[in-house]
Amino acid sequence: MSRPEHRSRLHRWRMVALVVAVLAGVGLATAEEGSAPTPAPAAPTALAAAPDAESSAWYCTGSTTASGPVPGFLVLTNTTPHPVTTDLSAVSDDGAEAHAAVAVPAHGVVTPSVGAVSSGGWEGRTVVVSGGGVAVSQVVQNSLGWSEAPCQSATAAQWYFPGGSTVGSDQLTLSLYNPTPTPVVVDLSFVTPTGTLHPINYQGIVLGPGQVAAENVASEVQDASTVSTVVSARTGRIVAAEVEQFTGSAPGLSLVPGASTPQSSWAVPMAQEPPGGTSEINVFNPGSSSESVRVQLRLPSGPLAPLSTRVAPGSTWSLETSAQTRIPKSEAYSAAVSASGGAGVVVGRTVLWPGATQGPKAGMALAVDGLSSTWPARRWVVPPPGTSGTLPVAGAAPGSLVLFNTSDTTETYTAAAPTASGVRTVATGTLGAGTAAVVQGAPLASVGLGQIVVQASGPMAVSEDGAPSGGAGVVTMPAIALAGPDD
Amino acid sequence: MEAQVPAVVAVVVTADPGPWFEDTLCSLAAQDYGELSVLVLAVGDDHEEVTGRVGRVLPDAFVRHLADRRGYAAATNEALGMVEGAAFYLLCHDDVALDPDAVHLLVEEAFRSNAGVVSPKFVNWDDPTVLLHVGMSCDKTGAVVDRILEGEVDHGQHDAVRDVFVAPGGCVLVRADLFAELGGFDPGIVAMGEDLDFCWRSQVAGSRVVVAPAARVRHREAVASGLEPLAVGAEPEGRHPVTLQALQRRHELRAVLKCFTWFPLLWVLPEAALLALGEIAVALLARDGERARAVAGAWRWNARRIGEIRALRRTLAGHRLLSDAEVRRLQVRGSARLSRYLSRLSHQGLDAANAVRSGHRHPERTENAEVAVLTGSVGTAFSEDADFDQLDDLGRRAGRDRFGRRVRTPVLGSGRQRIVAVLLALAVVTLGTRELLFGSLPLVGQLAPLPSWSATWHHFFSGWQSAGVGTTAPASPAFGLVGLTSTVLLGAMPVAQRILILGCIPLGAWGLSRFLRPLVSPRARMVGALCYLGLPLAYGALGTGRWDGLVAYALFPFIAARLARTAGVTPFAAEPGPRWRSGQTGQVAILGALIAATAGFAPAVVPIVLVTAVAWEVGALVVGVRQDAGRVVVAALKGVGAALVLVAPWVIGTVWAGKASVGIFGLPISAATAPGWGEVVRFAIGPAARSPLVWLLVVSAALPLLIGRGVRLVWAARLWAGALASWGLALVTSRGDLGSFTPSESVVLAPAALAVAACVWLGISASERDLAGSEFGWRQVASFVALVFVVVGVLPVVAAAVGGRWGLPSQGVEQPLAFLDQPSTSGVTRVLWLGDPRALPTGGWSVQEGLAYALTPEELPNTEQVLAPAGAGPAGLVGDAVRLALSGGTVHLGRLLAPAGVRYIVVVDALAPSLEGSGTPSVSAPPPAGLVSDLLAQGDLRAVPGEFGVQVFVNVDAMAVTAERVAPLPVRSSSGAPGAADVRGWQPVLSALSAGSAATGPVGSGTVYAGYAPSGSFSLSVDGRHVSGRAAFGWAAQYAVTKGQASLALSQFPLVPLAVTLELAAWVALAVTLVGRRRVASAPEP
Repeated sequence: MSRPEHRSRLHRWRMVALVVAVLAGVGLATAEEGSAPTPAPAAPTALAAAPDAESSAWYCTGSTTASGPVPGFLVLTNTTPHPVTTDLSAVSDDGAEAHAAVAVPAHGVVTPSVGAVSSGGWEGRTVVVSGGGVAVSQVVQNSLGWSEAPCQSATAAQWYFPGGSTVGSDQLTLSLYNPTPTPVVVDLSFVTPTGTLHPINYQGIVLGPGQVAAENVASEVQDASTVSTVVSARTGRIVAAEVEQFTGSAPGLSLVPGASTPQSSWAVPMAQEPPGGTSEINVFNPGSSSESVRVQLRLPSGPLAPLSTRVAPGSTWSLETSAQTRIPKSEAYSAAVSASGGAGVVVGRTVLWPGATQGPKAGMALAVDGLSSTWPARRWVVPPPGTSGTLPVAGAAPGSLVLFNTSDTTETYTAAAPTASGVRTVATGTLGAGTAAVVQGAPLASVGLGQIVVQASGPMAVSEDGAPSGGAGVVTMPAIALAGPDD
Repeated sequence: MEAQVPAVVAVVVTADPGPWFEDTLCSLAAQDYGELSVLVLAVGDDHEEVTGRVGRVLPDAFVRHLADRRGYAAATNEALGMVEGAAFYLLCHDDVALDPDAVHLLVEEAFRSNAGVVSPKFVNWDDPTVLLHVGMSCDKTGAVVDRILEGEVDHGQHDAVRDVFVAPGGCVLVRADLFAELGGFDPGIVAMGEDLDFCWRSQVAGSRVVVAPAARVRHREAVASGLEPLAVGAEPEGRHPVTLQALQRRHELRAVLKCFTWFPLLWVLPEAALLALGEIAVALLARDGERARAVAGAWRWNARRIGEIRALRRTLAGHRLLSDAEVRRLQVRGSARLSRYLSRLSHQGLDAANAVRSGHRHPERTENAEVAVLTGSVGTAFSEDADFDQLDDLGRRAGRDRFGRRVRTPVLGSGRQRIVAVLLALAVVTLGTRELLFGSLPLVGQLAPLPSWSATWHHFFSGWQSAGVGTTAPASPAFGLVGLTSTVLLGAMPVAQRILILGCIPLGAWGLSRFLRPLVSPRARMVGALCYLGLPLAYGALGTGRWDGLVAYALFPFIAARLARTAGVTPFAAEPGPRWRSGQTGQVAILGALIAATAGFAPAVVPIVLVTAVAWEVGALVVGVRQDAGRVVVAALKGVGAALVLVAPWVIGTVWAGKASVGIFGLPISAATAPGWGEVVRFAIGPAARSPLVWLLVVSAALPLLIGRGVRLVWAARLWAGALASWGLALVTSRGDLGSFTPSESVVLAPAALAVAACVWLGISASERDLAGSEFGWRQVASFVALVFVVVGVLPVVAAAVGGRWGLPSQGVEQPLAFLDQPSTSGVTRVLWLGDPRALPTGGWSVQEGLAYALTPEELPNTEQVLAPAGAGPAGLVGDAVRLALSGGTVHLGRLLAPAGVRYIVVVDALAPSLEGSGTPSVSAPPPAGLVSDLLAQGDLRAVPGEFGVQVFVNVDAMAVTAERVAPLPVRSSSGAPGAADVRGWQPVLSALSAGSAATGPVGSGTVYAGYAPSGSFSLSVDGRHVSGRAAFGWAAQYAVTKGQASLALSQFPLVPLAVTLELAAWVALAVTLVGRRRVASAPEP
């Protein structure tokens, strides 16, 4: 009981209550809120800049000059309704350079000739676009086959490749290109079934500004059926691509761009088990903690029981899908790969079609990464394998376009071919969760060597198989995400 | 046989004598010394009256009338020409009364001691039991010091004959030959100090000066006590009347200059000058302008007479028999005046110490008497000073109370303890700051070095700033204050910087001790001030280089006190003074001036004052006080309005920036690294003193809410409401919840720090007053616990002091970026800084939350760049380009930056660079993730390897700010982004442009580009011929020139300089009005 002198008309307890309420209330209200720094926003390694961009750039490597073992050309696809100018520069691994200014018409596709680089073998090319909305891909070919792949729209300090082979006389080449003004020091390491290798000759590779280098992996990593590669720049940032030349009974040529970030979800929109051949999905965990990986397979008739395992850090899980009895032969299916427990994985697929009658019989490609399939603009472009005047092989054309709904809900989609004279719808419809749609035949043939722009209401993994090839997955071109003005 | 005794002539100088004159004459007439003659020297106009009065008492006396009103010394010297045959002179004032045996005792002692000068014992005229002087001494600076205590009762304790340094004037026996040889007194000394001078010269000439206490003289000290006017002869009075103090100080210095040989002067004079500066500073702080003028005037007066002094030195040199060392034996060591000040400070407190206006014995005694009377007066019977019972009637401590019981002094209860506590606190602060006192401060946060003295003033008045790519916005008024401080310090900019930064900490504590002075006891004030020092806020601000936080910490207590006074809330009232100053207008003006001065460094203090005012109102309402509701808010609005008027040019320039003007308060930091609620409440915003123990201080501040009564409870409620508002505001603004209004938390938390310290203070006071007489209960327990909490709560700060720099990094970005200070080979270029606003060592503008940019010349930043204007102006295009790069919209950031002359891009990710594993890392303030990646993705930016702690990029497409090439920019480039061809082929020309000088240099025929904004404010001339320009990139200019010598200069109507001059005039007028009125107010009533 308080003494009389402590009683007054002043309401001390109101203030005490207010103080306690505010201090405790705000403390409790803010206690749950985390304050983790926001990580850097990740973007696909191939992303066409928004149409209103001031400038954008694409970096391409993995091809050689015409006299080299893997000659190729670029495909510039303008998704915007206005012409765009570009500056092309090419540099060879001995420093020879060539430059060209190329205009790309509205909704047009061009395969520019940069001009003959005077000497050297492997090339690096930079395409600087005065604006955005242009996708750049490259096509390579030689006697073993042909391949197409997106160029990279950003440099990175790390590049990951899940697959590769040096078995027998197979040639695996890493092409490294430094398109920046900053010198770069690069280390290479390889994960094989027998362990991780850090070849001394591939440590501390110095790439000056605008320099290209190609490293023959087979000279250091011999007779490995699955070679996962990590390209790590100590300073600066580069682009890297892998070229696989299958020389065995199922010859083939593959150009594989690297993945700059491990991700938790990947998709193979369409696969098919080759009769008499082999195929495998390579799940590479480059992180420092184990990943729980789950591969969800889905036939048109419905999902299969998933395959899962735990992938140790710094190791690769080669899931030989051709040996899985639950997958019926000769039936197309989709695969969704998800990883949890770490920073993510990098996924690719290798397929050998020894009995094929036309085109390359072996191929290797990255799966469609989650960043590309979930990119907020929900628009993707599928460049053609060339123009009528420039094709890797005679009759090269889109073989099938696959749209794979990677979300948990039904999504609508539209595939259209914009041209200077208008937009022609190729396909449209809805896709249930985890289902895929294949566009081929006449609808696809009507597009010819034009671009196809896919727009969807939700996440979608889009890829196109090129023809002629031995089968699904031999020549695969993932769609390139398009940035919107609001991204 | 009659003994023969030497003749003594008593020389009495009188001027308009008072009624006591007859007593003087009677005492001379009553002397038992046979050979005593009396010579009266009458100065002034009424000599007939004097003659008559002398004749009535001493008919044998000689009276000589001196027509002019010369001083005492000059008048006394007349005796040299009038008297012959005298062995001794007895030099007397007209207000002394000698005991009948005084003269013979003095003569006797002169012979016995072989002394040239003999002084009697002086006692009080009215009470002969009280001693006045028994000889005196002085220190080497001439400051006279008595041998006895003030008011000391004569028990014969000083009755031994002894050598002294000074025989006090009034009555002194001087050997006639000595007096003649030395030429008598120094006629240049009109009054005060002639005794010191003569005695010093006597000793230089080999004579002894002794005191013979057996000879007793009563002394009225009529001049010193104001009974007689001060006769200063022809001394011009000037604007300020000549005071005894002024005379004393100038004559002391004159004696020093005359009597020392040259060698001792080499160290005595600097020491005296240093002491004088210190005394002036203390006097100014104590608002004792009279003393400050006296001290400063002494040096000026003697400087004007240096020729005369040199002649007197030569004369004295002819008489010198003793060395300085021998003469110095009788002087006191050290500084008598400083010792006396500190002694008084420790015994009687600051006010009493500062009340000592003079070092001279006479005026000092007058004031000391006042002090002594005060301590034992009725007034102090109601004093809160807990040691009152220990004081006797003269204010001295006896150690026992009036009942003879031993007094137990409570902690901090005595002035001495409080002084010790202050010294300890200052020692801790000094210990914690020791590594920052000397050397250069690191380039961290806002601690960039100050520009030169002239550059500071020039920047303040200039109509153009180099911030960004140039702006005509007026500079912050802070430059005026910096310029003023550096002017006082004669351009010593590093010293000025330290004073303006480190001085904030003690200034804040002092401000807090003044705040709520009407409410609490000195002991509680001391606790409050110590708590304010013990809160981590100031050290957090210092450790993170936040100058604005330190200034807010220092000045907010003053603002709060003035706000309370202006509002007139109980118990605050306007300070007594003239009507204008104590009236509403004066109070508002002072409040406005305080807010304006603070806002120059910490603009956010303007809204914070308003928020605090509202919170105070809410606090009062919550506890049920509705009386005077709204007055604080109204006062705050008036004060803010006055502040805005006082810095109107700057305010207009800021508002002119439009939406960007809110950036003047602070730039948004990353919410991810913003402090949490717990950190905000315990002021853990810096690297030091982050211990949770500080919570105890906050908890202890709740005590007045629990036990306070009356006005203490009301004020506790107000302060707590202010604290809650401050903490809440700091939390939401640092997380970006208030949009663009994101002031630094170090500024926003100032009211909370004030509240916590003041509530601790109020709690102590409440326990002293509101619990008096209460039975023991939980309140007493709570008081004790709160006290323990306070002691423990300040320990983190004490512990943090061990580091010596409050966590401030030892090196900032100046080390990895030292190359920026090297001469550039690329012409005049700029540096783009990117990083979290807390990490940037310069001011800037926001790109997005957690990322700010700044453009500086290619050199390490200084304060001109730190206090940047609110709007970026055309430099906003740089921010747009950075945003574009971050969104992936360009791979040519370098090209987009080229027109601004950006050669380097520096990304900072922490307050200071630190190598991994090399000691304590600096405060981390990373920029948004992906920034460096986005910059690396640019095709025209090259990363510079080898730098640590910062990431540097070189712009491959860079062009100089002033450059030339043959081809002009195409028309399409007159506005908009540059193309590749637009930035190629430029060669640097012209020197750097500064606010004070033109950019000059030779140019060839072609096009000259000038990347300065606004382009319309510049003109280019080649060989003296004006060249008209046209737009480039929308904001810069290009000029078609022919070969010649070019000059690019600012060419605009000096609107800003005129406005700033008016602003300065307003400040001066306000200061003169306030100080002038105050001086008039403090003059004694007639």
